[in-house]
Amino acid sequence: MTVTNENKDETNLLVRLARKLFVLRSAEASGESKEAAKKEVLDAVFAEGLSGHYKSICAEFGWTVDEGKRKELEDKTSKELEELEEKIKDAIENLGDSEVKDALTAKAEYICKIGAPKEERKLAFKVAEDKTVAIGHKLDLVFSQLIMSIFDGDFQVMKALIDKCKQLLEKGGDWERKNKLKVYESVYLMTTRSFKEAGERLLSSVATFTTTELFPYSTLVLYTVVCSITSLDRVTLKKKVVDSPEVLSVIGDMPHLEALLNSLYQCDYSAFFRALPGVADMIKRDMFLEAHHRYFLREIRKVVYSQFLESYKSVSLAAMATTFGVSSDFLDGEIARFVVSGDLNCKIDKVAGIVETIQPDTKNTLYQATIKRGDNLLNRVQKLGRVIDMD
Amino acid sequence: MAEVKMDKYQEVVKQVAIEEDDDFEEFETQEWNEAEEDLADAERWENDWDDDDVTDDFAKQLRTELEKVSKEIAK
Repeated sequence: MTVTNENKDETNLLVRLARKLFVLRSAEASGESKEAAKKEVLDAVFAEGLSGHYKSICAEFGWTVDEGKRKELEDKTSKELEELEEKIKDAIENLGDSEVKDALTAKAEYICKIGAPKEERKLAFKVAEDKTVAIGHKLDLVFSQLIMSIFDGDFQVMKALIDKCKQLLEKGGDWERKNKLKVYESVYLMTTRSFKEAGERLLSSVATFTTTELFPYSTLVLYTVVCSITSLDRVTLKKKVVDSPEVLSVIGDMPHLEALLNSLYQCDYSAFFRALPGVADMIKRDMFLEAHHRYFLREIRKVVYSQFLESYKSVSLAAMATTFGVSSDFLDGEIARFVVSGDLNCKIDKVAGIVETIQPDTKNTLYQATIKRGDNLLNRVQKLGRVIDMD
Repeated sequence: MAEVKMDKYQEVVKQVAIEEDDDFEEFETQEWNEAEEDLADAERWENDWDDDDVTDDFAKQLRTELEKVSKEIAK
């Protein structure tokens, strides 16, 4: 990787930890990468004195607890907590409200960092919040809790915190925090597969990004490209992503991604396919994107096949396959799959070996869309029926 | 496939029809605690049946295909 501006990884400790835990939990990660992750986790735990995390992580992965180390960590934690409590007492008795708030905040962040039980953390933040007056400081507390929710993988809490942030920002808040929230919100949207909405916010954050506690700039660009490439039309993609100076400044560090983006725009379909597995790997290795890698692959294929077929009334399967750098049989299976799902408006004449584009049959499309939506509705009503006593 | 869906639909219609006589108030005051809510389902995104097809690893298939093709060319 070429040297970029940020040599130092400014990612928050909990987020870094979460990424390592993701590797350890991943079914696909290699034994080597898991070993490396384990070492990094333990190094961090001992270096930063994360007594709570040590217990829960060892329990989760069945690692043997080093009793000596455990005691060392817990002693360190107790001592630290004692000092923090002293400061709080001192502030309440001798100093002003602002110092009390600072001391309470320090405690909340400390127990969050070391991995105290969820309820304890929640309570500590609530106590600190009660003593916080300035909107900016209130927001900072919510951001700390957002990081906590990312670590916990608790997306319902995340949504609630984001809404809370929005309310606070309406009452007053600076641009930097507004922009910060956009980035946190885009993470939430990405994890809930709202790539289009996530992409919009990510794109608008590219020029003003300072939220390095979540991820470095190059990762922002990865997320931006992945979300935008499946949701923006070609012209907008070119203008806002392909030609973006900010994207251009780092995308060279991610050659597969760069190739995917440029080859799509330039209609170099064989280069596109060559770049795609590499990008798929990046997605599979990312904590926020992994769950959506099949979705991404489906969406990007819809985009690329539609783009290719736009110029044709009919094209031979063999010619199309050659353009993409694959065999006719492989491509046949691909196109057929998307025709069946109703995502490609064409039909395959297997005898003549031709793919013909057809005018979208609105009645049929409407019918298919209605079936799909009706099915979704039925599922939701059934779920509701399980919860509500319908007798 | 359409028939199964029709049956499902008719079932739901029947159930709703029976409910018609019920006092609608019942619906509103029914409270369920957070535990019973959709937490278990955690379906944060629209469920797509394609997701359940674990055998569908396009990236792998594409890699294999690209290797095959380059071997063909090398021949």
